[in-house]
Amino acid sequence: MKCEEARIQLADLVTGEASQTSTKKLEQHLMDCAGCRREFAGLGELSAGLRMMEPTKPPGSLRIGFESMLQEAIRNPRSLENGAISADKTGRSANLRREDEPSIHGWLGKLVMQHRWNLAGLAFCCLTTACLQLATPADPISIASAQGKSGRKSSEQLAEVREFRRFYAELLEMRERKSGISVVLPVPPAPRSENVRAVRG
Amino acid sequence: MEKATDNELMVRVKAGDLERLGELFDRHHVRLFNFMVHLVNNRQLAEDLTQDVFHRMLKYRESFDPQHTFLSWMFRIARRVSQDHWSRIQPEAPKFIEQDGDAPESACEKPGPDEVLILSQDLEMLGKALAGLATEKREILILSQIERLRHEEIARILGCETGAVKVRVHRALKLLRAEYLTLMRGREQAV
Repeated sequence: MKCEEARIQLADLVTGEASQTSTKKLEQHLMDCAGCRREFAGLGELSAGLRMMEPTKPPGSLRIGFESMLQEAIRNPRSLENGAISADKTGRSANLRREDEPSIHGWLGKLVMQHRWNLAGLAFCCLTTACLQLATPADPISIASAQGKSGRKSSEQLAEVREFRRFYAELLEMRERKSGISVVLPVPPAPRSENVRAVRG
Repeated sequence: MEKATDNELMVRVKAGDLERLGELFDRHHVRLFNFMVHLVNNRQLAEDLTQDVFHRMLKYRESFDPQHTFLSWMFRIARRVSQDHWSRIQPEAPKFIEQDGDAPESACEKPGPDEVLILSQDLEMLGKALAGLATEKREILILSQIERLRHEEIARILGCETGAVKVRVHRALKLLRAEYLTLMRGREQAV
């Protein structure tokens, strides 16, 4: 056996596919030829190394995608004919999209993904505003208004609130006029008409 | 109860019992996924392409010939899917030209005594060397060494003679060895 022929047959020997006859011939040749022996040792080690490589575990989404595709095919066999594997610009194929039936979820998802950072910013702003609102102490007018709006809605109470609001505005004007004197606004009492009258008198 | 063979399951799928494909998925999705990972070096893309293979199995189930093995049919589809992928992203550079005549034999024709490989469990480097090979070399090594398909089956997948497969496997192994040694030398110099 010549070296050239032997080296091609080595592939069979490495993969264990060589017949008994050719194995004997090859072994005889390897005994006599140091070059082929070296080559066989190198290829054998490589082959063993390749076979020892650990398989990569597929992600769980592969099964989910497959099952979804299979169920769709069972439900509607024509979907296989219409279905197409499309690819974006990078060549990455999308998971079994049906091009003739664009899905609303697909569009929405794409839109959300495109603007995800804007949406995140908006959500952050809303959250911050809400936190500031909660952290700011509520002024008595708002409380009074709120009480008027939500709870007791009698006309008398509403009139009290209006009067109290006017009183509070006057106090503010007074503070502006007498800017030299520091007028510290006290925490207004509950909007009762007798209190308002007492202060104005 | 004896388990149905791959061919029997695929015959049932072909006859319209589509749910049987689920069993074939259970048996082969890991190896198919790994085949794709080695070919495209990208897990996400490999997942999509693997899904594409199963989709085509259903779509072209009529083309399954029970006289041949299910594996050769499956890998033929897988190979077509990866070819389509490469032609989509690089239409000007066909990746699957068979290079029987132009392999750089001289690169590793006569390895010196110091070049006898000592793998010493350095599989990571071997993986890098494999990733550095041209697609068709990688493909034949994956099929023959990692998937351990018989040369006859590989010949059916690649559409060539069994003798040609042996030659290609041999050349691809030699190229892999050259690539591996280059990487090893680079690492030694860096140290």
